[in-house]
Amino acid sequence: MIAAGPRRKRLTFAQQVVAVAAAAGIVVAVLAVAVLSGALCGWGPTACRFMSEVAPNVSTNLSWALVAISVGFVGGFFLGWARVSRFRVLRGISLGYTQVIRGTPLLIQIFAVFYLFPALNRFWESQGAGFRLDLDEVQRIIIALVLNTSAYQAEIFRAGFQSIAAGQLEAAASIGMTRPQAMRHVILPQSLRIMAPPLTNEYIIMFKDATPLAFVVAVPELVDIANRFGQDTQTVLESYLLTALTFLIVSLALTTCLRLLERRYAVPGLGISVRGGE
Amino acid sequence: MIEVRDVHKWFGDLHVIKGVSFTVEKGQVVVIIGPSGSGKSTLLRCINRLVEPDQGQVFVDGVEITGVRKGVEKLRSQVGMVFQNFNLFTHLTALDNVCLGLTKVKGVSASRARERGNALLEKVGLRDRAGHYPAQLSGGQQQRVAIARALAMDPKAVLFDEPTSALDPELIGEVLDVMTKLALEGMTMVVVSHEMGFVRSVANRVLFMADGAVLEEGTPEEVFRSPKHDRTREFTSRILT
Repeated sequence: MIAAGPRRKRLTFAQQVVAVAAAAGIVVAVLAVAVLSGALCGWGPTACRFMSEVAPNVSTNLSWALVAISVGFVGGFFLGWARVSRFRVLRGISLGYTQVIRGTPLLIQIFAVFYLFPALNRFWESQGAGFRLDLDEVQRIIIALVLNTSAYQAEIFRAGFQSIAAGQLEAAASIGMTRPQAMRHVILPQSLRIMAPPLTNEYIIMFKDATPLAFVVAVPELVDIANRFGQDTQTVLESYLLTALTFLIVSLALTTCLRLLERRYAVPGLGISVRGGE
Repeated sequence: MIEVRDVHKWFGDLHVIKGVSFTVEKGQVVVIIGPSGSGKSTLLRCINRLVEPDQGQVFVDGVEITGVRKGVEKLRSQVGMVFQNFNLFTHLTALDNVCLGLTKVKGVSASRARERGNALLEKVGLRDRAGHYPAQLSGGQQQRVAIARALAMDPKAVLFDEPTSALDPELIGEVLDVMTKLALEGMTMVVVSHEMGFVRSVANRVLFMADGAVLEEGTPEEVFRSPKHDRTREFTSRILT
């Protein structure tokens, strides 16, 4: 059990986002140290080259994932809130969006978003519109990831909101809180603590499963670069194994950061982290 | 202080409140008794509009709170409420539970809110539990914190919805003591409760509700000693034994 401190800082929306970003900094630092230590150089010159030249590209995957996760957190919050709204239209829009995103392959979503903007620009040009939207490849990848993770995070938010007892809302109303106030000061801080494990799960999936899909539109990131390195040096299998190892190290660092956050804000009687388990 | 005028409430086809009227003078304690399902809790919630009456009017301190569209929250904060299941905010300490409304709704500074919060916890005998989370408090302690939370908003009246029925018998006394103290200080209170000791010693008036209507109204003496309705007699004889 965690002893009750006299007064602990409360978790707010903004703090959470900032904290995740800070955690990312730590992750990159940890990885850099691991790479510089050259721990794997003993395996031979190719492994050494891989770890110093190829592995650091994981920061590309990590930074895409972090941006997507953070923006998707905001998107997921509003979509999740809409799902439990009093207004039918909002519920419908949110449900429809979530169903479409969850029901279609991420691969196709990346394709679609990637080629959508150039197509839009051609369309606008043909219509004589005086503007165009030039987004580079990375921006388009990230938009696709954001659209995807927003839907998944929305489902996590919805479950979190629905897990809060109705009495909490009544109590908030009884002291004169408006609905947004109750959301901010009562529902959100409680549900975030309950949502921490599934959110962590989604973030790991974004990082290690979603970002490598950029290969379909030939935007370089770790898996793509490792693939080319393996072909060039005739070490395809070894390169992939080292790639997996790299993802593993960063994932472990990421989950550790998130778990520390979870512990830091743990409150007796809320969520599962109090028991200290996974 | 509180006037309820011909209030009706339907849940779907179910007519749960059938034209209830009563008034509570400033400083009075009115207790509502009646069998479960008779609409007591719903009626109570109509007074601070946690439940919207479908018909009829409710006045608090001369201001009609029914039919108001904007600013319901402000009106609602003038009437405190204590719930059967306490409903303390689980992520906040006892002190923060009391202070939340002060800082976020009333805009009181954090330091002044803490001062007031500590004073209120002192009043309910829980100054030493300020840093405890609800999960670390007994039911009786949680309910006393909930009373302090309601009082923090400086309400004109406090509603109690079966405040002791979720408590272990040995914890009921501490909550009733706080409520009695509050009544003696002149707080206007509407209480749904079947704690006969409390009703007899503190209530100015008792309302007996059955099937969504007030069947009988009077002093505790009148209602318990010489009930006019058979249903009242039947009910009181059951809870008095």
